[in-house]
Parts: sequence; C-alpha cells; structure tokens
Amino acid sequence: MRAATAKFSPSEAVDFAIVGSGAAGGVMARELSRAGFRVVVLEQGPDVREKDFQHNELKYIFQSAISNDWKIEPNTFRHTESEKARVQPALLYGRCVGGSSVHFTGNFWRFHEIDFLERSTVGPVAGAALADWPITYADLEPYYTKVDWEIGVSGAPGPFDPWRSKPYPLPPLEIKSSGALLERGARKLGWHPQPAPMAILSRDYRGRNACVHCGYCESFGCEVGAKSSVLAAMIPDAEKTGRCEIRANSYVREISTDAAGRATGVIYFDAQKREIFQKANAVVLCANGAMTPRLLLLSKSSRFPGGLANSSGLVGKYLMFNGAGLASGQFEYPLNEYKSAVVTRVLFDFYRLDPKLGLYGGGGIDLRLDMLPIVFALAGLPPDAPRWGAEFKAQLAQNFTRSVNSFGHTTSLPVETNSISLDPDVKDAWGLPAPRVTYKDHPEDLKTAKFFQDRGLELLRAAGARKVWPIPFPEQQMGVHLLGTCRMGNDPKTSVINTDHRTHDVPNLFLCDGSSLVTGGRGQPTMTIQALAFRAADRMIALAKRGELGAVRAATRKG
Amino acid sequence: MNSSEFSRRDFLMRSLTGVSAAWLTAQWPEILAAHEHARQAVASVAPPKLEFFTTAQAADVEAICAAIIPTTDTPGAREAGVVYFLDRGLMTFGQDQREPFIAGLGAVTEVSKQLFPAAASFAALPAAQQVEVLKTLEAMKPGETDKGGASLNGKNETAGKLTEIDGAQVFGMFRFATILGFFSNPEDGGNRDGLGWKLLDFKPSMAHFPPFGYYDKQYREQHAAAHPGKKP
Repeated sequence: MRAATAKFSPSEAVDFAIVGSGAAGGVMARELSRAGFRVVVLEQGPDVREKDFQHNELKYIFQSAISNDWKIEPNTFRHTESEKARVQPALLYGRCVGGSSVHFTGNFWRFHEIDFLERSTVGPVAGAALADWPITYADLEPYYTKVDWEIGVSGAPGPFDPWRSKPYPLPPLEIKSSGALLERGARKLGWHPQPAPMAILSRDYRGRNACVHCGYCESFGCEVGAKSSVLAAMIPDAEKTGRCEIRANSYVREISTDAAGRATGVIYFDAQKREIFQKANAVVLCANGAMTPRLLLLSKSSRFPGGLANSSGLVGKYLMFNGAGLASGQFEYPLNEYKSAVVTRVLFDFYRLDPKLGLYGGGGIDLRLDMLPIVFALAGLPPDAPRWGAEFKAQLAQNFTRSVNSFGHTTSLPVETNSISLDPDVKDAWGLPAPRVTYKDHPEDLKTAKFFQDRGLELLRAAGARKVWPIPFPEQQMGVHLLGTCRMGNDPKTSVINTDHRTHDVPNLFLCDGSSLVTGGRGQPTMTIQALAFRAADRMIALAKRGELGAVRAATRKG
Repeated sequence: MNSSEFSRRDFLMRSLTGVSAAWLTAQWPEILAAHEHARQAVASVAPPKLEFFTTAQAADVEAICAAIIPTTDTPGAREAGVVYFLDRGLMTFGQDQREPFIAGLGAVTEVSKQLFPAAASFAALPAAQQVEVLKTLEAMKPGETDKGGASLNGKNETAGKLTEIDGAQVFGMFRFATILGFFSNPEDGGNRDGLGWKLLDFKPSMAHFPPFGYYDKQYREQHAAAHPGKKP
C-alpha cells in the first residue's frame, strides 16, 4: 500500500532534517516535500502503520505500545526548584511514526481570539509571565481552515466559536449517550451545547474511511485510518512525493553547528544505537514541548554554552500542561460509552469566564468515559465503593456501561519555574540526561479547575445522574499537553523563536510544536499546533524562495 | 477454523459492508488476519501450565485473586484463570515485578500465620479468614508492629517482623494484578472466555453501530418525532 519512499544518505545534505513525525512534524514533512524540498524526518519511535495496531488495553495503556517507555526513557519530577527531583513518569507522548497524533483523542478545538490577546485583555497575573502572542487569530485563521480541510475535521458551528472562513468539511460524528446527556443537562441549565469538533472522519474523505465506532480510540492507533492523525492524513502524501524519507527508530541527541553558528545537521542513534550524523541545510525541531527544549539544551557547545538557541535563557521554561476539573456520574440505563469516538458534544459557555467571578481563564466541558475495562476497574467507581470483594465486583458489573465523567478542560498560566531541564544525575538508556520536569500549578489555574468541576457536577445532576461525585485534582505531576517551552515572540530577549518559527539565534534552525505556544489555550492544543505547522511551512518556503536559507533550494515541483 | 470462528469472521465482514470504502476494503484482509492470528493464539494456549510459580505459590496467588474478584453468581478471578495470566506475565513482560510479587506473597503468609498460627498457608484458610488476612494487610503501615509493642495477634514475639512492609502497597499490587488478569485480552493469558468482559457487558468489536446506548437511542427517537426525515 505504501509508496516507494525516498532514501537519503546521511552524508548527503538534505534541505530539511525534521526531528519528530508527530502533529507538527508530519504536516511539515508533507508541506516541505510537496514544495520540492528533500526532507528526512527522524522519528525516535518505531514505524507502525494501521495494520500493526491492536485492540489491547494492557499493551497500549500499561505497556507503552506506541508511547514513551519510562523504563528506557526515565523522567524526573519535582514541584519546585528547591527540591531534588525524583524518578517518576512525568511526561506522556506518542513514540511512533505519527507521534501523539496517533494516540490522541481527536478533540480539535480552535483557539479563540482571546487566547492570543489574553495579557492585554485581562492584564497581568501575579506569578505568571502571561504575554500576548505576536500573531493573532486572524493571522492563523486561514491555517485553521487549511487543517480542517487537509486533515479532515468533523463538526458544526456553535454560538461561542471564533469566526471561520469556510464551513467544516465533514458533519458531526454520530451522537453518543454522553452527548445526548450533555445536551439534556446543559439545556436544563440554560447553557448552549454543540457538536464537538473532532479530528475523526464522520464520512469517507479523500480515500480514507469513516469511523467504524470501534471505541479503541484514545491511547490507540486507528486501524481504519478514520482518526485524522498525520499517519493517516499527512505522511502518505509526503512519502508519495519521492522526496521525503521517514526514518524511524532514530533518536536524535544533538543538533550540530559550525563555526559560524549555523546548524549543519543532526546526530542521532539508530536502532542499533550507532551514532549517525545526518547532514542538512536546515533543521526543524518538531519533537514536542518536552523533547524540543531538551534537545536544544543537549546541544550546548562553547559557542552556545547555555544550550542552542537559548540566548534568552527561556528554553524549557513556561511549561504548561493545561488543567482539568473532573466529576463523575452514574446513570440508570446503559450509555455504553466504550463504543465510538470519545466525545460527541461539548460546551463552550465558559470558554471565557466573566471577570466578575474573580477567575482568570476558562475552558470547555465534555462528557466522556475514557476508560476501558482495566482502567474502569482500577479507578471508575466512586470513592465510597468497596475496592475488592463481592460488592466491588457487583458495582463494576452494574456501572461499567452506566458511567460517564464530566471533563472540564482548562487553562494553564505560564510560570517561569515550571520547566523542562536536564537532570544532573539520571540518564536514559542511551546515556543522555533524563528530562527533569519542574511543575507546580498556579493557584489561579487550580481555582479555575475547581469552577469547572462544580459546573460538571451541576451538569451531571441536571442530566439525571443517580449518583455524582467530584474527582479530586491533586497538583499535577504528569504532562500530556507539553506547551510553551520555546515561546514565540518578536523580542529575542523574551522569546526563543520569531513569527516565522525561526530561532532568534540560529538562522537555519526552526522549531514548531507545542513548545511554540505563548499561552496554553483551553486544554486542546493539537489543532493550533497543526495550524502553526502549516503556517510555519509557508513561511519557510517563502524564506527559501527568497534565498534566505542558504543552500536550501526547491527542486522543480513534480509531486 | 471451527464454526464459531467462521461465523465471527463472517459477521465482521458483513458488519462492515455499510461503511467500507475502497481503502478499507483493501486494508481489511490484513487487519482481519492480525485479529484472527490473535484468536488462534488463544486457542493454542490451552492447557495452561505454570512456569514461574510453584504449586504452593500458585495456590496462594489464586486464593488472593479470588478474594479480590470472588466467584459469586457469576465467575470470578479463579474461573478466568488470572493466576495463569500472572504466571505468564512474570515470565515475560513483568520480569521486573518478580521480586516485589514474591515478597508480597511472603507478607501474606506472614500475616496469615500471625492471625491464624495454625494456618498451613493462606490458600488453606477458610474464605472468611482469607478476607480477614487481606483486610489486615491492606490496613498495615510500615513500622506498625513496632509501635506500642502490639503485634497483630497480641503476641509480642512476632513484633518487628513486618516493620518494613507497606501493607497497603502490597495489597494494592495484588489488586492491580488481579484486575489486569481479569480484564485484559484473553490472548494474554487471563480473562478466559472473556469472562471479565462479560461481567461488565463490554462487547468489543471491530465495529459498532448507532444507537450506542439508551440515551442516544432516546435522543434519536425524539429527534425523529420532532423533525421527521432529518438527521439527528
């Protein structure tokens, strides 16, 4: 089924070496190769395709089938800089061709106008480095629309949406019981539910198949290509050009630079842990908001003693995970939430909280049960339920099909001490310093999350739940959304990349992924990461055409 | 291939006719082959043999699992073969768990003997006493037997023996292991005949069709009545 793909020799300088084949890297690979450039994508994970995916909760949730494996890639964690970090899982991301876009849930919200202008709209927040983006929603809107149509997004407009230049390409997914209950509860409360924007095909689209509702969705790869991962939607196009090589099992440890301070390529370990140098005229890091800053910090040299592209000292800082306000409910009849896509309806009434509430930020709410049998048995029953024995078993039997959670997806403020750095002691299986995560939720984010938990409890009650309870939200110690660690800005002193995604310090080094975000939005960053990737690719193509990227030259376009 | 396997495959093929595009039609045989392989692997597993546990250890493990998910009016961990899942797991993906697992069994034996000195093993105790042992273990904190000199059975000669044990953690490990073995895929050695999934009314399939549950069915019916002919 796969096109014969390009093969480049490491000693041959390709136009672009892209590190990471995920949400941003996959878009970048497609756009740059289609524009005529020779591209190598270095992906640390294995080359797994649709035929390799399995419906196996044990392997995918508990054995890191397509995500990072802490046994070989340890993380360390601490809340504050005064503590010594301890070894524990603190980061979760896709580790396979397609990256996190393969295992993600598919929630595909655009950021709103406010997300780009929060600092000037709500003012400063103590203890946070809240800043406006150097670009606005209007700058990004054409690229949001491009993502809608190129990736395949299902949905329908709602009353709180930002403006859009073109309708959704696909109608909403089939409503589930969680969606029907969200509508029922929200309307009783005077709120305004709408179909959820999802990167999952509700109809056949561009040679890909519509969702078959198997339900092995979040944390799994889609066997039918209905989930709009870059594996399904972007990488096949890139490979078809004959100018793009996706090189799996390639773990990059350093970006090389020359005496003039330009990037010359990347050094990576292949599957046999042999070090290989891939020459490139330009380098693009799309390795995610933890691995991109880590790689820059690993690439320190006498010329760049604090790490590459780090003259601002901000590489790795302002890490944002997004917050969550959670509640749970049990209903009289079966919902069977294990079937189909995770989310079908969403509530944006609280996207932007009324300042009179004394709260910063906002978010969105959906109902879902993203738990298959093992996770449900471990954590799906209320706190007053027995944890083992006959009554435990009876409650599992009664409630697996009748349970649903309210998930409030919320803001995280950029806090300078929340960061990715290199652990001074712990090494990974390749001998590289482990990423050290320092993270403490800003008190304002915890207040906002609590507000969303309370609305979730109201929503579940209004929908007719027989029993509801809050799910506690202890301070976060694990990030899935990895945002803000190489922020975009006009001033090289207060940002790492410019609006072209070019690093301020190294003219042929570009960064695009969650690390580029200036604010964290309301809990669903992937759509914005991909819109940024389409936009960044356009900017890079324009720079190359103007001869501003040195030896980077487009071939006569064929593909 | 027996007739039930055939009918299952036939069902899968038919169930997809409504949605299959050219892409899926082309991919489907490969996907199906993979799942067929998984099912055949299950069939070839029987009869299970213990490779890691001794017979005595297996009896204790099975009794612990059966206390956590007991046999009631429906099958429990014993019938689902959870002990075989764990035995296989400790030989394969869970090799790094061998040490804590065996230490945990030791703790269960220790508590059994403290509470019921005549007990030959945990497995040999009557069910009610097994539950008592596990409840005691679950409530134990490290250092507990040292404090105040009161040991679990009121006799001081055993005090101090269990000071290193975090009983809640040990119990949590057994609970986690039991749940994994009862609800994971049958091809991984437990959840025999899908007994865990049947308990939950979880019906995994390569494809499902709306209505999915009670409330979206009701939603569709109400929508159809209010807006005849329009899609919900």
